[in-house]
Amino acid sequence: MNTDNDTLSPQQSLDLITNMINEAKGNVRDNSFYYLLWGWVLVAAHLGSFVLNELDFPYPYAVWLIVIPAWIASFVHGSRQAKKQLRTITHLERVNVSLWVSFGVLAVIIPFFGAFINYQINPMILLVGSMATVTSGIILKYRPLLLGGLLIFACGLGSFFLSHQQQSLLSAVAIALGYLVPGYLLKMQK
Amino acid sequence: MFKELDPLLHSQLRLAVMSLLLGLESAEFVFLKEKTNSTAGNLSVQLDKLSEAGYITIEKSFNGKKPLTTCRITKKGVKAFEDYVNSLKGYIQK
Repeated sequence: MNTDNDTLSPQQSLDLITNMINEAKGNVRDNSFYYLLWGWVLVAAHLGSFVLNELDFPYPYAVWLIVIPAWIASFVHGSRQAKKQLRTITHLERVNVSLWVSFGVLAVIIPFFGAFINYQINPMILLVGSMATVTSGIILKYRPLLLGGLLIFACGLGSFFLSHQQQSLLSAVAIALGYLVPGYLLKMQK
Repeated sequence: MFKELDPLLHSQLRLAVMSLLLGLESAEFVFLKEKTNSTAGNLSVQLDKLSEAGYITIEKSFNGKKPLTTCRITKKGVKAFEDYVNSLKGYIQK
């Protein structure tokens, strides 16, 4: 590409702008790693919590400690990816990452305020998570994720009417169908 | 009456760089070089011109031992680009 001014007609300028904008757009990254990792971790935590409760284990919520290695794995994967291929960042990618980091912070904070919301922690986290999932679906223009988010939203609302034990089971189903399945579909699309 | 086209943007390589940066939060030198199919020397000169005009910012850092040059479009750059496209429209609708 040269830098001569006189060889560029207005139409050529517009064509060049259009081509370059399209080049910058074609950099959608595969994020299925995070969907699969967190999908399985959360399904396992909800089911584990359900089983431990059924067995009258004194600390059924201890199973949630598995999110700590998942956070570490996410962080390690993210920084490796950054070193390997992150040569550009689109505005939407930044929005998407900020969205999930915000959700992660809320998901850690909400349980500490359980007493203020009558311990309806599962429905609250499902509802906030559904918003992040729907928004991600819109950002990635990926319909399965959008529909998955809507399913999680419906399960979140439905959870208010259930016992804590039933909430754990419904949450596992919501995450498996609304989050894991779109994650696998995304991976298969590669 | 047609507006004069910004001479800084009315050049293939600089316009290509600005168009790429417009849609991105940031981009590395290597990415810009690949997408514009330019030589490192030429690209470097044109980036400096855009940076001197305040249209982009250039940040130099290291990834391990590898030097990284990251470019971002500025608000002034976005405004200049918009003005350039508006002027172009005038020429094309002629």
